[in-house]
Amino acid sequence: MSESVDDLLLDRYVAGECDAAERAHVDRMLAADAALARRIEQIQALRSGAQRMSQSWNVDLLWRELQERRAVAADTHSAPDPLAADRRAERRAASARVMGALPRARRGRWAAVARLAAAVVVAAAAGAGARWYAGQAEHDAPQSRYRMEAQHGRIVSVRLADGSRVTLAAGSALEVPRTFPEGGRDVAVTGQAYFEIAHDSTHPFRVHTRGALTRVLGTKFDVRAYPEDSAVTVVVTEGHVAFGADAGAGLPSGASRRRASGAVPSVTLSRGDRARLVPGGVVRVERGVGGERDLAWMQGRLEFVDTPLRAVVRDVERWYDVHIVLSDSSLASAPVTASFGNEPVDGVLRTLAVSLDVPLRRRGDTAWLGASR
Amino acid sequence: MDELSADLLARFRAGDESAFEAMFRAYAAPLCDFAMYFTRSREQATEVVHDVFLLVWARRDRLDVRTNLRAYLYRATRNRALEVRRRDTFFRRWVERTTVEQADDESARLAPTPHEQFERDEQAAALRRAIDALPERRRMVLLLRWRDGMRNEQVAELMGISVKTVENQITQALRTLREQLFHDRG
Repeated sequence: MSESVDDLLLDRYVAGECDAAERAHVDRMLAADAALARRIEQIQALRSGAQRMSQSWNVDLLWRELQERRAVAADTHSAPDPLAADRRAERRAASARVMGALPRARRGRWAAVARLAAAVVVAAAAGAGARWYAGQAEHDAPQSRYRMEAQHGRIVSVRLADGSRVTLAAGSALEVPRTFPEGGRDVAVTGQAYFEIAHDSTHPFRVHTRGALTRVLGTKFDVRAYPEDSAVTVVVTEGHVAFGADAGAGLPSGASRRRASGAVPSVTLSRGDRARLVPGGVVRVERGVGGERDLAWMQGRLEFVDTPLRAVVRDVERWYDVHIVLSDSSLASAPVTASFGNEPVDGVLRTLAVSLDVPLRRRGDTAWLGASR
Repeated sequence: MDELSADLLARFRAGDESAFEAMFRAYAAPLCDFAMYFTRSREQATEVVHDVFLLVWARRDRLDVRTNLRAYLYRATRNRALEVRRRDTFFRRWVERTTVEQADDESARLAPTPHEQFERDEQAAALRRAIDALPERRRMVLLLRWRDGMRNEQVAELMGISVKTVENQITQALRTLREQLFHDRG
């Protein structure tokens, strides 16, 4: 043991950080103490070993991912400075104008599609799909699509051919091409879905939802666009997505359309961001507010905070596959704050009735809330 | 890890893509390690490092030639990592779940490099295992100190701890590693 020379001094000696006096001191001790040489050798070995420590990071992959993020940034016209982009987005959060208002006719069509909800149907959507895409440019040859639906009262998880997973909330539908085409993975959603997208830089994933377009590379996010909702809502739980109005307003079928949709301004969203595309084509972004409440449905929970009863009723109807009638229309805008787990529908209805202080009547799959006539 | 040459830095400032890539390849892995210290998830660490490189690329013309690039990158990584960690409190549950999946993914996806495959140097492998097994803070101190060649003061500043703590960590680590690798209690 060479107590007069401590490890910290030796560590700095090996690193070449010692001043002349310290070096002289160590050299002097070294001449007098053979054990000290061994300690220095050990530190040298540890140090050079640490320098050669093979890295547990795939730098090639990281570099490719960085290139993709730069491509997305360029594509969405956002500055390549992510911090500045955050700040700018916050400033314009209140009212980012996005081109292309929701076309009214399309809303009707989406509504019609959602009403088809049956069991979990996985079928080539020759019929519905063809109607759905009727009216697009002539060169858009009808494509065969798969359509998946989660009926009322169900959550359905679907694994796509590319390894992505989509979880559909009750009363929601997903359409995907039978085979993912060159250039991009385009899918369409009505209702609510949680996406876990497999990373594939050469095929950007695009989610079309009632006039909104969400573009991603490899990430996780929640989309909500029930026909009855006033806005299309996206919450990002991982990675980044570009969100904005859908120039094509639907699934593209040709390269020309794909280019056109890329030109529409969009907002880049990161983890925790919640954005809503409201009628009139305005995107409202709230940074860092998206939380567990937005994803409660994934855990089988319904959560409401100051939600108008009319919206609560629609969610409960989808969730439990019941029909709810508000006997008193003035109830519709009453705010409801409640959280429901796996309780039976009777419990949910009773809670609503008690909290609103109105009578409840039920017959078969229909329930009446409010004074009966 | 040596400082990048002045020539490379000049080319980078002029907007040379290949210089940017060389810089990324030189620093990405150690910076990811460093970001992990704050974020504790690989996913977030890589996101942080990507953010940092997008930032330096965007601000390349404002980069002072006399800037110590490495110190700048480490500081930017720390600041961004702390920001991301604050932002992600909401998503702790999701992040934890992701981390588990990610761990599996990574091991499946990353084919061993030839270097790893033919790591004949038993002692180097043993050292790696021993350092990886150290408590996180101690491991980070050693990597910044030994692998990245920083002075104790720089390590302290970056990790937001005192120089005294850095020194204690080094002393403790040396004791552990000596015992384990050289069976030396001295």
